[in-house]
Amino acid sequence: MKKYLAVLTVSFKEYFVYRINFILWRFRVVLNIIIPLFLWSAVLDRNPVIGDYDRTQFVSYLIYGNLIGTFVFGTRTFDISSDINDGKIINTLLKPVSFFNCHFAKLINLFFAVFELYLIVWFFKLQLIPPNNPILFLPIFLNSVLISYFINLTLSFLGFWTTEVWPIRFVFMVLLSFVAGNYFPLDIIPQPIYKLIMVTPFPYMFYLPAKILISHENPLLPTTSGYAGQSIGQLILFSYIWLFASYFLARLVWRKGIKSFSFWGR
Amino acid sequence: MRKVLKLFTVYAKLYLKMVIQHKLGIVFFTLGKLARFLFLFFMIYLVFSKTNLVKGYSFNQMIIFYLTFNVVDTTAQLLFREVYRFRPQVVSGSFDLILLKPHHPFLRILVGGVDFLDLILLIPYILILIYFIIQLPNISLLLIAGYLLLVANSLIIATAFHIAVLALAILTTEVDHAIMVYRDLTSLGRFPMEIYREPIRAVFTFVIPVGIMMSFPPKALLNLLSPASYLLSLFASSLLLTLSLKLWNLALKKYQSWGG
Repeated sequence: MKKYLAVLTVSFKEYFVYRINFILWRFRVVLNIIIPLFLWSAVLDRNPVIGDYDRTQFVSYLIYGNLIGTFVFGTRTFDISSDINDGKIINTLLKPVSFFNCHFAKLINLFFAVFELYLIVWFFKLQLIPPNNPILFLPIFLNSVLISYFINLTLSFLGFWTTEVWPIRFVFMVLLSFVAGNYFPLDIIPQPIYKLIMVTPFPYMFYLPAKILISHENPLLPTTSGYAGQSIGQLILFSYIWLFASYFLARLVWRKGIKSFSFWGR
Repeated sequence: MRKVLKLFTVYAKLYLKMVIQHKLGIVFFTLGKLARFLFLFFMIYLVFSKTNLVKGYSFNQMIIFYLTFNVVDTTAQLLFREVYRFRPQVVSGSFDLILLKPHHPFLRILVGGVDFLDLILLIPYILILIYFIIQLPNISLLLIAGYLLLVANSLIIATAFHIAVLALAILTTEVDHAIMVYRDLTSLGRFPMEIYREPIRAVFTFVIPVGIMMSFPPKALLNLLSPASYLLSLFASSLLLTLSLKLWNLALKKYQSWGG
């Protein structure tokens, strides 16, 4: 554990080497929440309820969702594919740490995100509902971070076979940005599209944990209707299926990739 | 001028050859950009399935704002793609080799990498935009002329921003994604500025003129722009271009070569 704490500390210090760069990066994160927040606020000015959401619930979904999103999107796995391509990965492989755990320890964005989102809520006097269902939320939230982490790892491991990982990741990021529910809660879209999206891993990284946090009713009760006709049990099951599937896929691609990997001059 | 055009063509051809080497990249980048365009289009559709008007704008009008943003943004990316690769050239010292060439460095570092991939998407954007413009009631040639003038003006502002990004890359090696900050800032112009609350609206209209760049052209088309706003728009672009060129000259004076 001490080793991974050291990795966390080092990556924290790395961010502060280039301070202006760091500030601009965080500024970009704030900008990205402004568009959906104000677009939907403009709709809510005329139409006080959208789907099952009133203004406070909708805004809470976006704010809590973005907080969850900083963990989900905050992986540092982007560097792995280029490290494979130019051989730098050997430096990590030679260290007495687990490759999977080492990269997971670099998730530190939450500290900044809490501050930024608080600033947005305070500045625009947004009303939020207090977070609900914490016991159900925590394991689902952990699942969301892990699913994203394992899928990102798998994408990075494609670097063992191709130098063109970035275009594939670009498509993944676009899908993740929209289909995960960053811009609106997914259950306000037409039912057939919603059901199709719920089969993919994307909603379990953003929509489901955010939705659990803002649900007034206890989602474990059989009378619960707030999940667009799907039971919460079904969604939790899907979340775990995607967790195990993404983990085994990442392990499989890693094992295959590391066997085929060779580099010179190190 | 002929020499400049010839060099521009040579650089564009060389860049095209380089892009063609990455076939997987062509497919995935085009797919990703198309998906992003369609998702946001769907979101606007979704918004208007819940309400008739957003801040006084109808669905067709909102789509015109969105498509105008896409046309300006994609044209800027098509022309200025090389800016995205400039900072590593400063850090590695290969910018020296560009400065030694007997032509203006902008020919290489600003417009030296015409991204033909963006052309694949720009043409359908323009066609869809024309379709939605034709649907507008009370459209006239005068309004279309005003719109085209302000779109051209937006491209001048985009040029100024890109030159400023180039200058920043020389002045400070700390910033490695200034261009992405520019992209995120301009993305606020996907929708009319009226949706944002004050002071964001004022800041992004007058301080960082995203509103002038992305919202004024469609407003001109919808006959919602006063003559004073036209003048303000032209003044802003001239001022920004002048300031960015001054910043570039200052950056060049401060530039220290790695010494080959």
